[in-house]
Amino acid sequence: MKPLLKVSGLACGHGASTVIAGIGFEVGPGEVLAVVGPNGAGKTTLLHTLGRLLPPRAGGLELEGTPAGRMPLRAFARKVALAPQRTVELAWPMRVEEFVSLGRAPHRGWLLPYNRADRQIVANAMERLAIAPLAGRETASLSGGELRRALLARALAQEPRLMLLDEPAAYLDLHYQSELLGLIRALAKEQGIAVILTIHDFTLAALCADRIALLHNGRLRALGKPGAVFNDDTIKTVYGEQMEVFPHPHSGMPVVLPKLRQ
Amino acid sequence: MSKAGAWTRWRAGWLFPALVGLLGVAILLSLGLGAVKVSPARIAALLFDPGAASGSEATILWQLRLPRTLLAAVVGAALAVSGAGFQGLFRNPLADPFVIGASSGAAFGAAVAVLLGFDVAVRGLSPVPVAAFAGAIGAVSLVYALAGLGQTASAGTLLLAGSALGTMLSAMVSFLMISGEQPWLHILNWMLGGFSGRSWLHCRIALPPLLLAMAGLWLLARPLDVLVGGDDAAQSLGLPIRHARLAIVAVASLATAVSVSVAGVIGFVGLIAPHIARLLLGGGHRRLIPASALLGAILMVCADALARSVLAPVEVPVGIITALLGGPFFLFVLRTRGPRFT
Repeated sequence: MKPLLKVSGLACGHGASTVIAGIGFEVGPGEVLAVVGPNGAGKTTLLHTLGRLLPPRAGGLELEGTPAGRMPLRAFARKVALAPQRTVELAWPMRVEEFVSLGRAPHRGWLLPYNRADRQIVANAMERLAIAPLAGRETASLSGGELRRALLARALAQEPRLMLLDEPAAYLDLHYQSELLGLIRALAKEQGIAVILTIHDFTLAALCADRIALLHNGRLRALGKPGAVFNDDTIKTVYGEQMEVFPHPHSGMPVVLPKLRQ
Repeated sequence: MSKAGAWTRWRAGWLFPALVGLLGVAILLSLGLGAVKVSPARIAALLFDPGAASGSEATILWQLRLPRTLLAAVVGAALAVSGAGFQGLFRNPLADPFVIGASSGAAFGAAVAVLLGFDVAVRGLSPVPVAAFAGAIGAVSLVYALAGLGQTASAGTLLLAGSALGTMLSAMVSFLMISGEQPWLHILNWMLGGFSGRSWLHCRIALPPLLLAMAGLWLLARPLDVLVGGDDAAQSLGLPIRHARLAIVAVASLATAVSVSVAGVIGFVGLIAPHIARLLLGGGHRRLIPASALLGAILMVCADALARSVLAPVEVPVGIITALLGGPFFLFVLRTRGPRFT
């Protein structure tokens, strides 16, 4: 299968410091890739570089065979959607439907009004994320989980080929986490969207992702299926000796548990 | 199609005709108010049969009150729309052409042009509005740079930078005017803003660029919507942020500059109108901008009518009325919404 996204030798940083370097991987349609790693490993920087919020210092991105840097910004936004980690910082409340509609902007341009098809796509996205009943509510009144879903609905309304999700499970309780990640995986599979998401929880990462990319100090430490990446050796090198890795008694999926330091 | 979205559209469907009707009533009442009172019924009759008016009545209505009322409506609309634009640009609902110093910048530019020997009133294509435009753009850019590029302008920084710059520029305007030996009352009237003595000539000069600027900001509705969500979100939706910002600054400054050249410095309309519009219709700019325009027009026509009647036959500058109304409103918004933006 031809890769949807091809990353090679990618380096990026802020100011004088280089945060990530030598990153290379490929992602295919419908594939979910979870990026894990300790705080400060460069996960968000990687995601922002992939989403063209930060210019790469070296290396390249190829989207469906085209160098991403040469695509006009709006054409790129029709293929790649990014849902940021920080909750949306709207200057003032917007209705949920208006907020999700912004996902249509890259398709409709800056002047033309949304048409019937756009409104249908927005309605479908809200339906798919079960926020249709909230359409008339103001974004400021949403709970953390509802806001996450509104962000995802906006990304979905972009009809992207690739979704970049920064910590989609952050600040959610266990129930919401598993529900949202299940939904993301289902969307990837049913619509053939490639998903790259960052996440801290290994168990959830192993559950929702096809492959795991482990970042450490800005380098790609390991890349592969959850069982291959989450092994005793790798985890202990990156996170320290107090980690334990063992297979789940029922599913066989690797489970990573920390021991409290005395 | 969602129910709630349909409800918003339905509400917009009756709100706009209601606002247009309200504006019509305000204009009708305003035409009748002043040193000589004319009843609304008589005005309505005269509007349909212009020949029926007696000499002095006709002059008062067609030559004095109609042009100034029309001008007040369009200047009010333009200031409101430019306020909505600046609020989107600064991502802060407290921004207003007056508060952020754009009006004072325009006044400074205009004053310099007047002192260099171009009169505002007489020449059709005078450089006064051009100089005002340059002044407004300069002031906005300075405040923008001070408040921090690309970030949510915190209320504190924005207000401090805007008011400091505004006060300084007003002082410079006063200084220029006094050193230019202009009559005091004339200066004061202009600094406080008003529509006294405005004629069809002023309308001819000011209406085309004001209407153009409003249409321009309405066309920029979607970039404004996208910018409200922050720079990262805007860029990931494919918006060329710098170009969008430049366009918004240019068009909103044009509206401010022409308004100031023709009516002086009038504050707070650009704050009140978009705020009410946002409460009525939500934050989406495609509806927010026309609704702000209508509300701004209604506010300004009423303020002008008040200005003519509270101390009749003496006229109060409109800027005093809007400041008396807008000041408390501003403090109210600062109190209820401000803390979130600091």
